[in-house]
Amino acid sequence: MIRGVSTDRCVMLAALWGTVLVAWGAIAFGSGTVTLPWLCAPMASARDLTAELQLVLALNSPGALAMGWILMVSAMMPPIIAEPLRHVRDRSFARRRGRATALFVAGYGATWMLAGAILSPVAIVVHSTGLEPFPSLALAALVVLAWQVSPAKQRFLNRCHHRPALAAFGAAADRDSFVFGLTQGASCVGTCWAIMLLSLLFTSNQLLTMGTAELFLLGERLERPTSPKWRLRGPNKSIRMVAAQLYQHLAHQSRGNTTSNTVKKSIVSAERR
Amino acid sequence: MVTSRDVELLGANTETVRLVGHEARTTVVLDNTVKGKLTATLRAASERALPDRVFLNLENVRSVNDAAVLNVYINAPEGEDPARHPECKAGSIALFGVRKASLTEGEHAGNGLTFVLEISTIMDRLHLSGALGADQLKVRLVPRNPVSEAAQISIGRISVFREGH
Repeated sequence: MIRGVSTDRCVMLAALWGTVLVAWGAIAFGSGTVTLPWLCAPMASARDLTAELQLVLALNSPGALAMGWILMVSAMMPPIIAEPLRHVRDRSFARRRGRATALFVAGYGATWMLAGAILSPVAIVVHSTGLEPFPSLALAALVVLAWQVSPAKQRFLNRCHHRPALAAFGAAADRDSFVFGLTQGASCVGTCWAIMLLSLLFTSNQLLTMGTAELFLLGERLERPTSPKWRLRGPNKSIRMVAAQLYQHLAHQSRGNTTSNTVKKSIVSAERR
Repeated sequence: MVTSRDVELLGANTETVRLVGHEARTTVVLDNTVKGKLTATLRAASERALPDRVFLNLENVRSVNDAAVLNVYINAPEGEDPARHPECKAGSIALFGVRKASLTEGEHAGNGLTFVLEISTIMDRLHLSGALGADQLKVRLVPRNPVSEAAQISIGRISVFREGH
C-alpha cells in the first residue's frame, strides 16, 4: 500500500491544471486578440517606431495587452509553480493554506506582470522595426541560445529550486508567503524570459509555439541544480524518461504475449515470495 | 493501493535556531485547533482507532561541517541534563552531507537538509501526564560534542506535523 497522496495535493493540482485548461481554452477559442503576436502582426511593415507604438497602444488598450499577457502566463506557468506552491501549502496551517496560496500567487504574478511590461514593448518594437519575420525570429533564437548556454541562466534555474523556511504564524507567515512568491517569480522570469520573448514574436502557430515552450520549461525544471557554467542545457531528464518509456513499450510489443505472460508469472511469484 | 492521508502542520517555532557550544533551545508553539484534533484522537484511542501520528521536522538544516551529531529532546526538565531523561529524547540526527546540501550552487540549491523524527510516543506520554495542555513544546538540541561557531549550524525552522488515519 502506498501512502502519501494527500487530498490537499490533489485539489491543488486540479486547480492548477484547471487554470491551464481555462487559459488555453480562452486563447484557442477566444476572439483572437488575447496574445500579443496577433496584435502586433499588422505592424510589421511600419517604420516610425514612436508613431507605431502609439498606434499599437491606440488600437489595443494597455488593459487588453495586459489581459493577453495574463492569459499567456496563466496557460504556461501553473504546472511550473506546482512544487513551490506545495512547499507553501505543506508548511502552512490547513486553515491558512488558501491565504498563503493567494499571497504566493500574488507575489509570483506581480513579477510576471512586471516582466510583461518590459517584454511586451520589446516584442512590439521588434515587430515595428519592419524586419521580415524570419530575421527577427532568427535574432531572437540567437538571444535564446546565448542565454540558454550561459552560467547566468543556471544561477536562475538553481534559485527556482530554493525552498526557504516559512513562518507559520500571523503577519510573518503572510510576509514569507508573499516574499517567496516574489523571489520564485523573479527566478522564474530570469529562467524563462528569453523563451517567452521568442513565443511573443511568433505571429503564426502561436499555440504550438506556446505548447512547445511550456513543455521545454517544465522539463527544464526537472533537472537538478548544478554549478553555473557555459554549457548546452535543456530538459535532458525528461527526454531520457520519455525515451525509456518508449523503449519499454516497443520492447514489450516486440517480445509478444508469450514472453509478457512469462514476465507476469515471474512477477506474481516474486510478489508471493 | 494508494490511500489518501491527512497531514497538517500542528506547530512551529518562530525563528532560525543557531547551534553553538553545548546546546540550543527553541520553543515550538502549537496551534490550538489542530492540537484539539490530536487530543481528540488520543482520548478516543483504542486497538481499532489508532491515534494520530506526530512528527518533528527540522527544516533547512545548514552547516559547513558534516561531522556533528545532535540529540533532540522534547520537554526535558529545566536545569537537568537531558541525557538523564531518555523518555524525552525524540531521536538523533547526523549532519552527514549537510555541507554539500548547504551550497547555493549545489544539487540541493542551498536548502540544506530536512530531518523528520517521529514523536508520537512522546506526545502520547505528554497527553497522559496532562502536559499537552500547554500550547508549546520546549525543544533542546544537544550535540554529542560541543560545536564551534565556525561550523555555522543553523536550523531554518522546527515544526510539528500530525498525520491522521
